Amino acid sequence: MAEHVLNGVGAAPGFAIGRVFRYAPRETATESQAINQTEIEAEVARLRDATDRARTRITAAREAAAKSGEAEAAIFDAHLLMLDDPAMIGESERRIREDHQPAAIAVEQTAAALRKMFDQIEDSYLRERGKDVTDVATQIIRALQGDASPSTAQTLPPDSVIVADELLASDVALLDMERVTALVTAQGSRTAHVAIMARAMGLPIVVGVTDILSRSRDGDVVTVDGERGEVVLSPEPSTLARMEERINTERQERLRRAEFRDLPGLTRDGTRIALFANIGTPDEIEAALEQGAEGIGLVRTEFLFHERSDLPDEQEQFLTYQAIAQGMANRPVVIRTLDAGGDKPVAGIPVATEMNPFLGVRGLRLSLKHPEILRTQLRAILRAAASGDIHVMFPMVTTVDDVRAARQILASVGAELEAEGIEHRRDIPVGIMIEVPAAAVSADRLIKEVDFFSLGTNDLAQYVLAVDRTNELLATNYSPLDVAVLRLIERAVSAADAAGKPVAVCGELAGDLEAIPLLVGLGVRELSMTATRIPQAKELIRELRVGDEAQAAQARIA
Amino acid sequence: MVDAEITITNAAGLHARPAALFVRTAAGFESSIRVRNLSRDAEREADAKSILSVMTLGIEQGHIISISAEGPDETAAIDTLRALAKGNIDE
Repeated sequence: MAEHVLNGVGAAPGFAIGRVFRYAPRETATESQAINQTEIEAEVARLRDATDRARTRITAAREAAAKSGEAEAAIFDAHLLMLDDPAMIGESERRIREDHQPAAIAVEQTAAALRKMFDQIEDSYLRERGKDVTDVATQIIRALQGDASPSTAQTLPPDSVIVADELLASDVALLDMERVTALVTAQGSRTAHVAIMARAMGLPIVVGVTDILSRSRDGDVVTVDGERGEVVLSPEPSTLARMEERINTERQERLRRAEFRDLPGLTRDGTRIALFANIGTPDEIEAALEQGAEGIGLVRTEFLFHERSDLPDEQEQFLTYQAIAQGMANRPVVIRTLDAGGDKPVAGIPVATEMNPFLGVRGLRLSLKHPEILRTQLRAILRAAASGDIHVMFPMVTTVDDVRAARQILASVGAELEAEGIEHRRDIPVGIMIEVPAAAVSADRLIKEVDFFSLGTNDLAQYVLAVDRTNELLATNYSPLDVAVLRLIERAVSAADAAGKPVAVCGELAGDLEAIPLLVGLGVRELSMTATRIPQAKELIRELRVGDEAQAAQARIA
Repeated sequence: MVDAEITITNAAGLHARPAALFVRTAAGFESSIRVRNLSRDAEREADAKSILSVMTLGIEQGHIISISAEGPDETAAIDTLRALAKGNIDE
């Protein structure tokens, strides 16, 4: 049989080889045959019995999930409350008694009506909770239909790849992990509870593989690539060999990472270099921690503004920033205010067509032209700062006046929150990106206005060299390690040093193995990069001597 | 029957966690307790002892809610829930 490649969405990374185990395909209750008057009591008793079994199952799932973390366990605490809720169980019972509906239909329609109400809520967080209603209702319906008992999950053959239409968080919690190598579902999304659970358990999962149930049979050999979202049924020997190699490489890589993760970024002559991660969405926190990030040196907040035509409100931003701060426990998190413009537009803020968008209304310039948007974001940041070590940073700063204008708004929203009696923290560190050459040249003046600098080397290099880094014809002219760029970096670092304030690099150079010795030599003590680069960067740093690198860097810019 | 109107000052409105606390507190009283969100849909009444009903009221910061209780401990129920809703619920 020829191999068959199916594509979905990789929702938890990792590679696996195993055999298909088709898990509890749920029959949707569709027959709405009314029950007789005489059957009512028996049907209500069945419902109560099913609810009890669902409760036992969810409680067991909670215990299993608690091993991964309290956040995973909390999913099930909410489910238990919903299970015993009069709006769920009382209403289902009413439908049996008054509408003579069979129990499964009663539960399904109760859940559907609740879902409809959740869908109408403006607040996206609350709206999202409607999915939990479906999860709980499905548990009751499964118990009513008597399928997918936990014992099924416990008698799995070894090396099973669980294949299902949809998996609930509780299903995953109850699987015998010793026997499961991967999960594949026809439905679901990256943000589903099941994906969160899988990531916490280190299991690869591919969701949205629409054809998986019709294409696979129990026992089929299958490979799963949780990164690219690829599932191969009946793989050829060559595909299998490739996958085995990846699994081995990954295992070695994981061992290596574990070895370096808990070691500090310390040079041979004892200088501490802090290694931070840049993130573009809250999902990336896990990876950052796994790679040993000591904090988040750059949260790009643009993700909140993408794929929508309206603007994220204060509440949504607050909850997102709070989740990041809490996810990083007490480690520092630097939130950059919206960095949009003609070259990276967001639908909610129309920008006039510009001849030179890179020299146009972007970063802080855009925010200052829409102070109401900046105010909303800063309010959310100050509120989130009450639950973590949050720093705020402004992008695309050119002059001292830019910083003062931004700080004035920050002070004003702080006073506003205080007057409204809303919990927040106002005295958070305030920093700026150094990416405009003018800012690097006047760094000594700017540092008096802020608490820290972060060097955005990508933009700084393109402005200093007057090379559009997106222009392929000039690809060889764009060299971020050019002496002119390095001289400006040195200038900014010296200004910060003289003021006794920290300076980080959060551009691509921070994770570049060729650039790291130079940056350290120029006096940079904080590097923030894509999380996956941290282990290599740390390995390199532990080989460096600051004295030697400082000499080499000085020679290079002389 | 005893009732009260309260403006929700809690920053997160009545999100899952604060809603759970509200509901658990309400469930501790014998009286029947109803909640309405006057800022959203003044007609729709929710059972204060049902987390799902309370959550679907979509109560956010700044909304005005009305709570009414009827039963042997109605006064205590309203006093307790009002104190809870007026303070920063579970924050």
